Amino acid sequence: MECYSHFPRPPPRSLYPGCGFFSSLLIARILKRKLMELRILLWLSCGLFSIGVYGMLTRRHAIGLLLALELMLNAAALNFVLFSRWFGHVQAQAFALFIIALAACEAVVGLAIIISLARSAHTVLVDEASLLKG
Amino acid sequence: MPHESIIRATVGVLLSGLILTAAFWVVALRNLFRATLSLGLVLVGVACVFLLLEAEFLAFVQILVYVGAILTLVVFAVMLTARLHISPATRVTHRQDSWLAGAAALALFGLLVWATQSLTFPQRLAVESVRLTAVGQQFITTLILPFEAISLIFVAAMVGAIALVTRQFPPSAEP
Repeated sequence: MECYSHFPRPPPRSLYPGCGFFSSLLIARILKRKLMELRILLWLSCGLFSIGVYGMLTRRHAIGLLLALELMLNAAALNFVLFSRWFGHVQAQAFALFIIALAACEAVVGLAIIISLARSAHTVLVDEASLLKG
Repeated sequence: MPHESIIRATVGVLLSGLILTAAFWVVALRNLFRATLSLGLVLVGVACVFLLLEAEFLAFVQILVYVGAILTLVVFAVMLTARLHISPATRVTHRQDSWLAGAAALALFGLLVWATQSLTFPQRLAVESVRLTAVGQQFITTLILPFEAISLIFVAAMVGAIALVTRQFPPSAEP
């Protein structure tokens, strides 16, 4: 038996049945590329941030602006957690926790300001709130 | 195991589709209540991504703080300000020149992708996921100052929110 040991070993049997068909698809070939799982989540974070920017630019309702801001903060926290997992870094997760806590503060104060604005100026649209305009 | 990264990437693609669709609903829906509910969908999806990245504590904090507290607050605020939204002049929920904002957001997305494309990363993810005890130790050693500052900010935000929303007494004294 030892005389065959220098031969190339046979390819290992696939762990998942049907994986041969799966890997013949183009999308599987794309997903198989190196660092693809990192890149996908990175693109997700970029897309989430861009959608948040779009919402900040287009919404007229103040609460809608707040929702778009939450999207952007979530994109930042997602980036922190992603790099924390990838580099095995501990403080990044702590900073993601800080982001979540600060988002809670920001939402509370923002909603209080919006309700106070609705009481005093009788509007919640940011382009109609012109109390401070000279 | 080579299949594990493929499975993780596939789950990442599915979650990305869910999150980006719900995020588009958040910014595009005219009904603000529905936009708030789809924000909840985004937050739960991001929590699932945290689970995929083996940050379980952050996922549960995300669900507790965001979906449990912030979303409830936003729904309250939407309902409190809903009757201001009746007149037809305020029915236009988005600005008129939104295609310009869309182009700006697309350009920003392209810029971000281009900027992150050339970065170099370790070829494999770290062997061990970040343990919660290590994060807690960071909080009481290196990050003690921001940790205390956060608690101060919490107090300031709570007092400020109560002071902003409380009615002035007596209310009839106002003109």
